[in-house]
Amino acid sequence: MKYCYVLGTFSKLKNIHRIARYRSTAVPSSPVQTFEKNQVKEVSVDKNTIALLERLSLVKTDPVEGVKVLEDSIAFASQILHLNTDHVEPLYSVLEDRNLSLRSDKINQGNCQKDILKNAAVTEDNYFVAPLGNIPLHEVEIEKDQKIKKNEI
Amino acid sequence: MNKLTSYTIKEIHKAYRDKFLTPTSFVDLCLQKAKQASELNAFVTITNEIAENHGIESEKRFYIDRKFKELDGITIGIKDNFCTSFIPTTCASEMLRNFTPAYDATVYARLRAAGACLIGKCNLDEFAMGSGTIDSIFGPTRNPWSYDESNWRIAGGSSGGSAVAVSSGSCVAAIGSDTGGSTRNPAALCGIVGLKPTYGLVSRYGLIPLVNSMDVPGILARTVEDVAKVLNCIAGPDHLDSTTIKDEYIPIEIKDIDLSKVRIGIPKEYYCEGMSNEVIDTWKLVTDLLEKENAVVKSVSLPYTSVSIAVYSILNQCEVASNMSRYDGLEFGLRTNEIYSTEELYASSRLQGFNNVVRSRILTGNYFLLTRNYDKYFIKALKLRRLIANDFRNVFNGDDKVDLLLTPTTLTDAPTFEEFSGKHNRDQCAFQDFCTQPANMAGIPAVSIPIRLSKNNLPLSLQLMGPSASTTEVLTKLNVSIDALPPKCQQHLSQIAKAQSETDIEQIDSIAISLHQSKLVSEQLNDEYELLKLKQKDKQLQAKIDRNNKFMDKMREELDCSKSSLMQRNPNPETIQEVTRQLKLKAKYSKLPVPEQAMPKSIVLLAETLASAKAEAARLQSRAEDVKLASEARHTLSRLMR
Repeated sequence: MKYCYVLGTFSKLKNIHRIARYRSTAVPSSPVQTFEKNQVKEVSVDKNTIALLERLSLVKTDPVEGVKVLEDSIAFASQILHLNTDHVEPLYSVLEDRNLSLRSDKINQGNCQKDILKNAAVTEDNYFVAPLGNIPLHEVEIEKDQKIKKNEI
Repeated sequence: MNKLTSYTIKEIHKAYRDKFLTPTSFVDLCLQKAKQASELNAFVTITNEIAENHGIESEKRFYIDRKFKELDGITIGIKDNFCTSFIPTTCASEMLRNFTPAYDATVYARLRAAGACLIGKCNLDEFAMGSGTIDSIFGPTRNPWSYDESNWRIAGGSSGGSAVAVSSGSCVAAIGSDTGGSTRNPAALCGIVGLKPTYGLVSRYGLIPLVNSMDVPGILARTVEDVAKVLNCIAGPDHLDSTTIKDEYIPIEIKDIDLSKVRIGIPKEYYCEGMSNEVIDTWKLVTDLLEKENAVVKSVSLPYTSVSIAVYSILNQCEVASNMSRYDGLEFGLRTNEIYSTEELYASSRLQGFNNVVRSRILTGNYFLLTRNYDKYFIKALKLRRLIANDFRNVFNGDDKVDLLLTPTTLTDAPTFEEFSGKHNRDQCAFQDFCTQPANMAGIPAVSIPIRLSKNNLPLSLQLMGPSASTTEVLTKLNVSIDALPPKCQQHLSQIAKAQSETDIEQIDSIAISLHQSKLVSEQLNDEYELLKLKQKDKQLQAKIDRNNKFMDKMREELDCSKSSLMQRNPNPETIQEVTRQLKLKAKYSKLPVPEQAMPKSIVLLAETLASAKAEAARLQSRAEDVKLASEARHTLSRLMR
């Protein structure tokens, strides 16, 4: 399929590209920045935290590339840390000023066991099947001088 | 015919009524187009048979039942992160490659109820995380504008497949999802209209969630009018989604408005680093045109705009980390053969099922959600979200309020694949979503409209945003203000449309031919249809006649039958007169009652006179006796007197 034909047709309509002089002053003439950019120094995340995150997320990450991406993302997010948010309530949902409607406590769905089980890769006697539980993914190696709060492990 | 790709829903329906097109032929054309444009990779699944069946249903409603629905025979594409029962829904991820939902998303169910025909499921970034539709397991989607096999442009994302499906003419409208600009961004880069409705106006039921507090189903179509038509069919409260706005939805009607009564704000912070001059020029051009039409245009300030993208990245990753935890491979989705432990199975399935963008977002999200970072990042971001939303509240309210905000949609026209894929996903999004994500943060409606072409012959678009209160009114305004854009703008748009249509005849010969053929076929079909109808009528009449004949025969038989049965009885009709005569004779001497039914009328009359005569006789006799008695008495008296 040739889509470059659009090019040919439009070269005829030269006037489209002739840019007029604009009178309006509403559109600024240079980039506007209201807050000073908070230059964040390089962020580094230690091995323990990476291991903890992998365990919490149940995904593995590339030890070099993945960590760099993580650190970049944290640095990018950190540019908001200097902003003043005293006495501001968090906004969890834009519908916070509306009531959630409640439905009556009646069963209106069901008899769909077959439909639900059909997407599972392994089933047995109409049950989902999982391997043994209670075995942690891999032990978090805690470096001695690192402190990690108990509830995070 | 050759303008098929630029037809609006209204024009298509008119063509159906004039029998210039039929739903089935149009669906076939769209399918054909989708296949011809397969190089663009707009579709993950083309639903051939389903589309044809939907077309046939529409045709039946149109020509036989004569009761057609709002979107009958209108072809649609649905982004592949909306559940469609018995049609695979993959999210462009290995994780859901083999997933087939057992239920329909509300959006799809409502479109079907309105008669729309599903052409296929559209490509997207894996789990809608991206802004270029290049991170899909089915490969990137390519922009049809200025297409060059070796150096093509990205379609924008994450609903790039939906945008390309519409702009290449494979469907009339498409559904995307909009979390940070995923509908408006590809619409802008592909030169079509993309609407992000108010949060909660359209049900999210069946939309595989990315960021629950920001996701909205979006609409992509070639004109504002079509977008409004589709919105009218899918918007409104849904008991299956508790976050829909419960107020009754009032359908939007597009009317002319007086631009001099509209106040338009130009938020100065939307001019950011990296925005191309052409985009700024387009912005100025439209501002000037609006001023010329006496609209009130003024500069306004939304101070938190520049930090919005960072706040968005935090909230997005946190909610992603939470939402993605459902994919463990047990109940649905990819499952590896790991059997050592449940957690090992989870981890290995998720490693294979997710690409590195998804995995890094989950990891980063969980970093922000760690107890030690929760307040520092997550709560901080939520607080800033309120400040961003307040910015919008302030410009839309108060004495100095504006009705609409006019901003660019994207920072540049569509970049080439090489330019774009050189950057990391987060930088791509930070760059592409700058102007679009604030609307998601505040939940307000926004629409991207194509304005003109850049030097590279690529579409440039602007975005309008409105307040979310009194949604429909605002949406009407949004839509109308675009339609009422000054003539010059419209001229450009019509030139774009014209160019598109011209190319259709000149370049895509096969399509023109197929269109012509299908026209002939449709005429032929029409004739055949009329003939068939006549034949049918004939048949029906014949059947009626036969039935009547049969009925008559039956009646005759019955008559004969009853006649013969009467004959066997005594008295039978042949001998009835004889019998009555005998009876009459008998009646002279006996009081045998003669059945009245068996007596002819004259006999009845005679019998009656007989009875009356008898009575008369009896009366006379008694009188005679009286007289006799009286005369005897007189004789006796006279004898005694003598």
